[in-house]
Amino acid sequence: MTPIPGSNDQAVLLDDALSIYQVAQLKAALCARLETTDTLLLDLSTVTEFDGAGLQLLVFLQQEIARRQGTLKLTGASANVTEALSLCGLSKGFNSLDVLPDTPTDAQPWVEDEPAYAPTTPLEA
Amino acid sequence: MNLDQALHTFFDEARDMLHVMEEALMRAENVESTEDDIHALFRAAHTIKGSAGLFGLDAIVAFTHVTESVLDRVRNQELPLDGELPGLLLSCCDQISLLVEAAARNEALSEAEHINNEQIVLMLEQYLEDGLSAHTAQTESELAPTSMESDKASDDAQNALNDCWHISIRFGIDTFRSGMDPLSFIRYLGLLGQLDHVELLSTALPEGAAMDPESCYLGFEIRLRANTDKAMIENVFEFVRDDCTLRILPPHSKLGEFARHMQSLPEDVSLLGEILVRCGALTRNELTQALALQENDAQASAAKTKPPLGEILVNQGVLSQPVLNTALEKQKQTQDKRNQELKLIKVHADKLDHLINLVGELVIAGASAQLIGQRAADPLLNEATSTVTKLVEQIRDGALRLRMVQIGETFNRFQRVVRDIARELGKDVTLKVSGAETELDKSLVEKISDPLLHLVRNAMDHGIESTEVRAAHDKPDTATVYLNAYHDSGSIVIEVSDDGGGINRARVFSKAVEKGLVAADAVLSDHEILNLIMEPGFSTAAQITNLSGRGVGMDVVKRNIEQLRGSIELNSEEGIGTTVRIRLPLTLAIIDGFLMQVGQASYVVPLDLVEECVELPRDAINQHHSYLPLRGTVLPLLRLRELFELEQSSAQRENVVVVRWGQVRAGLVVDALLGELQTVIKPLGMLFSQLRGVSGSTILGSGEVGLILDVPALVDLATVQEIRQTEHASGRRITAKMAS
Repeated sequence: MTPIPGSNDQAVLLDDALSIYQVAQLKAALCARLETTDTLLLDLSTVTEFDGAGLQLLVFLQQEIARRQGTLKLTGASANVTEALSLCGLSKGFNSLDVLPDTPTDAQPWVEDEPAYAPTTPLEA
Repeated sequence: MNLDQALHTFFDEARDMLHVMEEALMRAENVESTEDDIHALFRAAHTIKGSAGLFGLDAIVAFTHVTESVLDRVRNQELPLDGELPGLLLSCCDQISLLVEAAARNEALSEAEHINNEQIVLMLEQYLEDGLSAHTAQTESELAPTSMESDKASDDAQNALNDCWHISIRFGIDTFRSGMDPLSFIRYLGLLGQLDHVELLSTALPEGAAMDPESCYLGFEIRLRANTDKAMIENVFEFVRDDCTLRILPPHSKLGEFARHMQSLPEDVSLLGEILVRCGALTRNELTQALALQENDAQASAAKTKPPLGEILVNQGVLSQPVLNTALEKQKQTQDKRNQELKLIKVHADKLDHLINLVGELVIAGASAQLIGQRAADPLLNEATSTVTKLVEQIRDGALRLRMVQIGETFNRFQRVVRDIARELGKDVTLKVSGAETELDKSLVEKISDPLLHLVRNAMDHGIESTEVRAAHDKPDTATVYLNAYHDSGSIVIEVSDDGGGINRARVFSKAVEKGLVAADAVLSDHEILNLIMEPGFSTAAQITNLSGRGVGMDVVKRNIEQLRGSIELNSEEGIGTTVRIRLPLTLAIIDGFLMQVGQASYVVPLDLVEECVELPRDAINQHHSYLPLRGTVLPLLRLRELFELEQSSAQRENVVVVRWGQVRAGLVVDALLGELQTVIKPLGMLFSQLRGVSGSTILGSGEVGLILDVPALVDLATVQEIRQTEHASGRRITAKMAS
């Protein structure tokens, strides 16, 4: 997990794998982040491994954030993520989990603000 | 679990499965096989294939797949399980077994085995092809009208319009931890047909910290448009079957089923209803009806204290009473069977051995405590130790019983052997088994099955005559081999008999002379002639077949049996048949013993073999007879003092312990009788392996060593001594100076 610099602590780049091996660590890190903010932007564009546990974590985050009346936004889902989400009927926005690979205006305001963003050297959470 | 362990489990399982298949096929060949058998066959093949696939054992998968396909057709009643098919399937079992064993040894198949493999596959494929065109056409034409009729018969309004399978699955909490990914199951399900709609259910997800990201809380409602059957869909989820909730509704299910379906799931019914509507499984109208139905049900059940579902169905005329009864009966049977399976646990044999060793030590320690108690002459202490001793005895018996298994399973394995050998020899032979419930020690069972195999082969090859000869002697065409087992005075007796030609004494004798085993002018008793068969290097088969007759049979059998402290006995009547009787001690570890003393040395005989004890009459002591008249019979005596060359004692009285082995009695002359003793048998070292007359040792309560006498050998010795008294006996003396 890599925090994206200058993105208000809200944007996070999840890289490589989002699977059973990482979910415990990621859940702890992301929940800690939710203590300070209600809004989370997850960049899934570089996720190469995505399984049911990863999917479950996303759904969980979405529910947690909804409880706090915040927003969770996903952006730049990789092919794996897109496939899994559409397999489970989630890409149409089930329970307002926003997958917005095709609507850049809505999804990437912070990218425009901060063009310096790039998948920097990944820091372990 | 590491992969190696898992692989071992697979091999064990596969062997069990093959055993199940073999039994089912044997039944199929002999009598009408039941539906259960066919299902068991298919399941076994399917499981082997599936598990082998997990480990990437492609050869097994490839072969089992063809077998499974044929079995699938049998299961669907497209193919009758008769004629040559059971035989072919039996050879499939053998082939799978070969493949499994080869995989277990991590080897490839030999060239010949490969060719055999391909031949069987070719034969199997015939069953797949020739049927396919004719049979499917037939089944389709049969099916079409019935399905139309049933459509008409059922009330259209009652059926949902949904033309898809509806699958509800809630994955078990440990799904991720067992290395499974729910998504892959859904992807796989997609291969069966078209996934019309997949709805992820996350209602089970706990909030905040309570949610463990490595637990699985996921559930799915799936609509699948596919031309398949329920079993196929269930198979998709096979690996998570045990810990997931899976409900499958076929297309056009009744609304009532949907109602029950919703009730059987953990989620709230109204929420589920919404989901079903969203999935397209039900229209909104249908949902309202279904919920109303359910309401009615609930009211009815509240009013009538819940009538069983079966009753409702009958009342509504959906099912007739007899049909329901058979269905319920069947359900109960499967449940009973499952319950029975649950009552069994698999325990590693090492653990049992360890337990029995410990019990052995406990017995020794208990005996020593009792001895001290007796010396101290403290009544309270004595009472306490006697209670302990009683309990120890019970624990000992219980522990030993854990290792006892019924011999039936071993016997039943011979059904296959007899069938195969009978085919090979072109003889018509059946196997009859009795006493299958007789129990004996597990370790004995393993060691006895090879000798038994030899004996059964011998009986079929040498014993049973060809069909022509049998017909000439007015014997039934079908010959019989009997396996029988029973308990007899502390030993187990296993009999292998046949109704064949019996043993020709003259031929045995001339053969023995020819082989130089006996002198041509020797005069032998009937018994002795028969025993020649068990001499090394003896074979009477006029024609050596590849089954037996290589002269390595009976002597090896005899040696194996003797190693188990058992004995073997032959009975044969010419023209009537032969019986081979094997007598084995019940257990190898702990026995009830009878303790006796000669001079300073202590000896133990198994209590079960002791018939009675009498005092040696004074005149018998003085005259030094080697026999004792006992109530009108002659009892050969064996003086342990002389046999073991102990120093003469000043003891005034001597006692005779009458022991029996089989039908033969002998009297052991000892100084003192010390009574019962729980005896833990400790094997003697290699050094004493040639020693006759002593079969083991034990540790007495006092810490001294007691020798366990080998009663069969002693009885034998006593009778031989009695018969050949004229001969000089010094050569047969047993030196046992190691005693105590």
